[in-house]
Amino acid sequence: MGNKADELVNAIAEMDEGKAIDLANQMLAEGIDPLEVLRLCRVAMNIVGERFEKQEYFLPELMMAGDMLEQIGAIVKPLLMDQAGGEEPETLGTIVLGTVHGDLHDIGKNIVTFMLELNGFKVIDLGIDVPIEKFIDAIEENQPQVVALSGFLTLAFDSMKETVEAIAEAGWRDKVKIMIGGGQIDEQVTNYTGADAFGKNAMEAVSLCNEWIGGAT
Amino acid sequence: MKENMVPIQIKVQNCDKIIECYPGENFNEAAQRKGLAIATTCGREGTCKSCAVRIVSGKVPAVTPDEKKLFDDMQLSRGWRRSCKFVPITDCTVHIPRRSLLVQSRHLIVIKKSDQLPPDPLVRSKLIKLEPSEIEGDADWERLLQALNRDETGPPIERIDLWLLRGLSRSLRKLNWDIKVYMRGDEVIGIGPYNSRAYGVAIDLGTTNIVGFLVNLETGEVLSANSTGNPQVSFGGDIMTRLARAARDRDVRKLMQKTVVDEINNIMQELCANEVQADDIVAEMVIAGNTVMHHLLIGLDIEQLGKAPFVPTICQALDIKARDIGLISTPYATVHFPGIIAGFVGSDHTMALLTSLSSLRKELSVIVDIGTNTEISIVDGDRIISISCPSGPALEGGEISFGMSATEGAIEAVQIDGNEITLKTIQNGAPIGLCGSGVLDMVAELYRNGAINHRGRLNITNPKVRSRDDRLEFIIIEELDGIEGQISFSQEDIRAVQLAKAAIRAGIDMLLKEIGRKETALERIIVAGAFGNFLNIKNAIAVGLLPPIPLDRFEQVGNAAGKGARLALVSKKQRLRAHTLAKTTSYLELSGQKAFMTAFIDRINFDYRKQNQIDGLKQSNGMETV
Ligand code: B12
Ligand code: FES
Repeated sequence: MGNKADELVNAIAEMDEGKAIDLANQMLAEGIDPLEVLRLCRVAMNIVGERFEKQEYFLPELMMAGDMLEQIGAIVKPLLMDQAGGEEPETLGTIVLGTVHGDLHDIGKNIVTFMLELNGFKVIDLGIDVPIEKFIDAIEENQPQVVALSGFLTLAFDSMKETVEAIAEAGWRDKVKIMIGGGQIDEQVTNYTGADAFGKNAMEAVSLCNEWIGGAT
Repeated sequence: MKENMVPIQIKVQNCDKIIECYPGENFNEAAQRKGLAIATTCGREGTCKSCAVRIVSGKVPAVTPDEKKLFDDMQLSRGWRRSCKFVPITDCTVHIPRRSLLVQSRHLIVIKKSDQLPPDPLVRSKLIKLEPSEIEGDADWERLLQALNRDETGPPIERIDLWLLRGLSRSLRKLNWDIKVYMRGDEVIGIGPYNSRAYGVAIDLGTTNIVGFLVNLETGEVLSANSTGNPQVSFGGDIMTRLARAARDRDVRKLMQKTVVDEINNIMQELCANEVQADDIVAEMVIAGNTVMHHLLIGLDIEQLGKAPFVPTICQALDIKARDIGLISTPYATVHFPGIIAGFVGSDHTMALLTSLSSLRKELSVIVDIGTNTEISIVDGDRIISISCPSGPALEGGEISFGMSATEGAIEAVQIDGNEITLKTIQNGAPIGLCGSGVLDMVAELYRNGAINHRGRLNITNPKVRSRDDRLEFIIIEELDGIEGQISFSQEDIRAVQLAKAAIRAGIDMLLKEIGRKETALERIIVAGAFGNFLNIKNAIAVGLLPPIPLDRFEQVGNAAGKGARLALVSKKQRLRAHTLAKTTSYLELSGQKAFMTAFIDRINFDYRKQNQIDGLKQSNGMETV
């Protein structure tokens, strides 16, 4: 099986979709633990992530890998449910995430959601153009450790600032960490908005959450 | 600090200029005060490094964490810093790379005879001779009014411009009651001697450039034209940055308005200098521009324009007295602002449509105006749909490591053959950077030569590809002149072009999908705009920016917005057509459309299946780019 495991990791990392799905199916049929298959997917995705950071891969590769993982996930999920007796698997922590009001860009945000989920976090994705109140409601309902704000427009910086202020007003500021991200976000914008940190890409979003929530790899 | 109240002297070694910097002032602002405009793409926020200069001698400020991210170690140790954050504390010498200097020099545009437009003007004139006033006679205006309406065939005259009225009695007497009266609609808008003439001015108010045309309203002849940079760039290179700054601060907004108005006043003066006599009048103006330029100039609210759903205050065409927006050199003139299509499809696109459609037979056509925001329309019989694509500035040379505007020394065409790189620069100047058409050529040639793969990744085994601080780049010129270092094209530059071309192509995909046609069915693609005029269509097809249809279906028309503004200036009929166009063109919002996102991602890579087709095109790809 060692061989097949390597092959699966490789197939995903090399964007060979057909082969990856075939292998996953074969391994599951051979009785390999679905959790193990998921772990391999994560290993592969980490490789893809590294290549993305090194600029070897670009957005389409991230999306394609995401697509493969989603397909494998769909095959594995029912098996996992059987195993766990229908219970939700445990998560490392909860993150409320959305694109701030006035901004409709969601490609970047979706990748962040995907990578966070893949790394064991529960993500409440509020979508795009999210009004401030919706963030507050979601925070109160889900008691997250981290709030993640995404935005690509210069004017989204103001929406982020307003959202952070509203979170403080609602009395949540010291109970959650706030991270922001999107095309042009940097240190300066982070200071302007009053958020705790920013991430340049989905990998950094994961490391920030790991750092704050103290999760494993 | 006290002894420092005297200004600090900074010598600019490559311009032979001394710039005086007040204590606490940044070098970028000080240079601008001295008429040396350095690029400020991010509006001096410190995030773009378009304003980079090299401090050659004197005290070089310590490296900040921000600068670590923008420059590599070698550049930092050589003294490269952002001029907008460089606050000199001692006298020093600075080198400003030529590609960061905004060329503010205005240049004249050559006008072709064919540019003469058939007039059918809004302003009409009439020669009038009045009897000198008698002791118990009627008031001056009443007598003029009577004379005007006596045998007038046009609409009856009812009003006179207030400012004109204030000087009416004096003018009538000075001209001895022998006058030429200029009218527009039911209003008198000008009075001059018999031999006076009426002129019009058309302005294409772009984010980066302003182009003006002086037209004889009676003959339709274009008399002079000029072009200059939009001085608003010091508030930010792109409209979103300017929007954000104007939205945050009312004073900044007012200053931005004043900056353009002053520049338009200057342009008008230059246009008129040799053609217009003291007694002549500029009676009519047309100003076309994107919605943000339009709103800022008129002084409309803009906060709502920067956020979804991007609502303009007004779409309808507007007629305003020039003086009401501060154009005081021609106070009585009416400024016409053509209708807007949507928040990000402005009156400049309405004007481009007007120009293109006047020569359009009923063929399935696409009109694309490439810029930071690329407006695209598809015309299918009477149906017109338009979109705005967020292509970013890469295709204009913006936010590219060695990108620059299309001025002397900019690489405008590139050909690569193995290890041989052939460059063509504007005015054959020594190469200093790449302008838009050069950027596009670069990517196309890298791909053809296998220096990048179909995913856009630079091939490390290519001898010209280097890895520096873990970042790949393709070396174009090894060492420039010892001061500015090399010219290269980085992996990030390639990514920026990929995003830009994907946004535009996905936009075209969406429009075709909307009307249910295939791209091979396209009978005409009109490429408008300054960059569009110089881009190599074969290369645009090779990188996947434009659809692969036969080359003879493409047409590069240049400044279609400016031409449209001239049409609307001299012709009532054209203005009416523009009205209808703005109203009937529908707008397709791409935001929130899953199909656009899929198409966008699909178009990021280079299509390796089309490789053969592209190779086929290569045979005929000479350097006839320009
Ligand atoms: C695709 C796109 C669109 C699509 C969006 C589709 C969608 N469903 O998202 C559409 C066409 C709808 C669109 C519309 C507009 N866009 Co747009 N768009 C882009 C484009 C080309 C790519 C953005 C993108 O998705 N990149 C892909 C992501 C995955 O890349 P990434 O940034 O590296 O992603 C990572 C990080 O952002 C990070 N991240 C993201 N979120 C978060 C959150 C957290 C917490 C963390 C830690 C990290 C993180 O992780 C991501 C994954 O690694 C950019 C140009 C560019 N070159 O970036 C312009 C751009 C963002 N758009 C721009 C503009 C102006 C607009 C419009 C206003 C104009 C228009 N032409 O219509 C509208 C506005 C719509 C709105 N209200 O938001 C400008 C913004 C300029 C500015 N200064 O504000 C840009 C920069 C283009 C430009 N230079 O002009 N756009
Ligand atoms: S960094 Fe100086 S203007 Fe952008």
